Amino acid sequence: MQNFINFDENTKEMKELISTSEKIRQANEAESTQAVLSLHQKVYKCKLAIGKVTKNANNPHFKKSYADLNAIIEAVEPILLENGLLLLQPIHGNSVCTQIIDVESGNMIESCMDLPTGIDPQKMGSAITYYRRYTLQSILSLQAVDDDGNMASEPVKEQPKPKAKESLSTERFNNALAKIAAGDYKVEELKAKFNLTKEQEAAL
Amino acid sequence: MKWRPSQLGKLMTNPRSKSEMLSETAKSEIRRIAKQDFYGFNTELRTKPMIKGTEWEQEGIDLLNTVRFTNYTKNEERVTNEYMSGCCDIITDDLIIDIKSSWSLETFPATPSEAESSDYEWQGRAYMWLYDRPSFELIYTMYTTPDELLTEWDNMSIHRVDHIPSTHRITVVRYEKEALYEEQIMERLRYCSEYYAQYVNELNNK
Repeated sequence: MQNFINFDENTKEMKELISTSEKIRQANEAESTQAVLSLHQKVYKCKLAIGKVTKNANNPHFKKSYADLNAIIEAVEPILLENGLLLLQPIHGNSVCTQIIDVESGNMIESCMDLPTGIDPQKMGSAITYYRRYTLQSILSLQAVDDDGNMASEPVKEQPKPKAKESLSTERFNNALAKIAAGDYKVEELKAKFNLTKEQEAAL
Repeated sequence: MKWRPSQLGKLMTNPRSKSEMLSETAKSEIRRIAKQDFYGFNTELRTKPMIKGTEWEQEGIDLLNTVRFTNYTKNEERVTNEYMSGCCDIITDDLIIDIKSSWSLETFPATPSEAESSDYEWQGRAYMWLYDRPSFELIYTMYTTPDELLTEWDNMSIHRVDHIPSTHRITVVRYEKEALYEEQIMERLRYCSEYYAQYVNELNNK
């Protein structure tokens, strides 16, 4: 049987292969570095343009104390596309990612956040939108981040509005009077629950 | 087998042909119920809208009392007849009320035509039959969603509704008792019980 292995010869061939492969890898890396720089240069150009949009008082989106996802996408995507950059926001496994891809070179920068676990689908939908906004704001370090960033670290819960007493239309007041007359309702309950006019108070 | 009023909607769907006694929807529902009874498990989900409707049900009753100047209280008396067993939300001398709590202003049916539902109509007909009352009201209420059920991501403008007049936050659909419907229910439930027994028998003897 000729089925044996010549280790010396194989080792030599392997070394040659590794050397060639290393040369190719280094060449690719050099090329890739150049492309990444090119991507970064494009992002730099975009950021200069986006900065102008951010500061533009005529842009209604950025007049708000924070910009929602659609507002940010509307503001940044046309600029990215003009510069040959593609914006994608895929979900990978449990992460929401924002990717900016250089269409020419295929190079990409991305910003990802892991989604919370154990939440219901409705909440998950909100979280995805929320994380898309944050990863997009982060990858471009948009100026609108600050206000929102504070909100994220310290969620501000709106205080429920106190229940104000309702006023009663004449028709409803007459209904109440009929109920009181029938013994189904009490004057005290009416006074406690509703904001009565002087005329209505007098009618009681 | 005692059927529940809330199950009636599916059980009363009509079969495709007159030769069949039960629709595929009804059969599927009966098998689902029988399987749960046989193996002793429960697949009911507890979603936030459901929690709002059960644990804060009194808010809905209070809202209705505000609108109607009434003192309705939650009924606790379960009634059972030969076919069914149920416990309605509110009962008066001549009326049964079923309170539904809407999750948000978006899901709140703002008019009676939006609130009409054949499932709930059958549920109401079952209650009128069980409690022997002439009328049934299906009442949707929209009260402020408790903070415990919300996150900072929720849109508060569809959940905080105390500023809206109470009269704008209830929608009423009224149904009247009709003997014809009750005969239909009885007839259908006989077939349902037969099918249920057949299926359980199959589970026992496979």
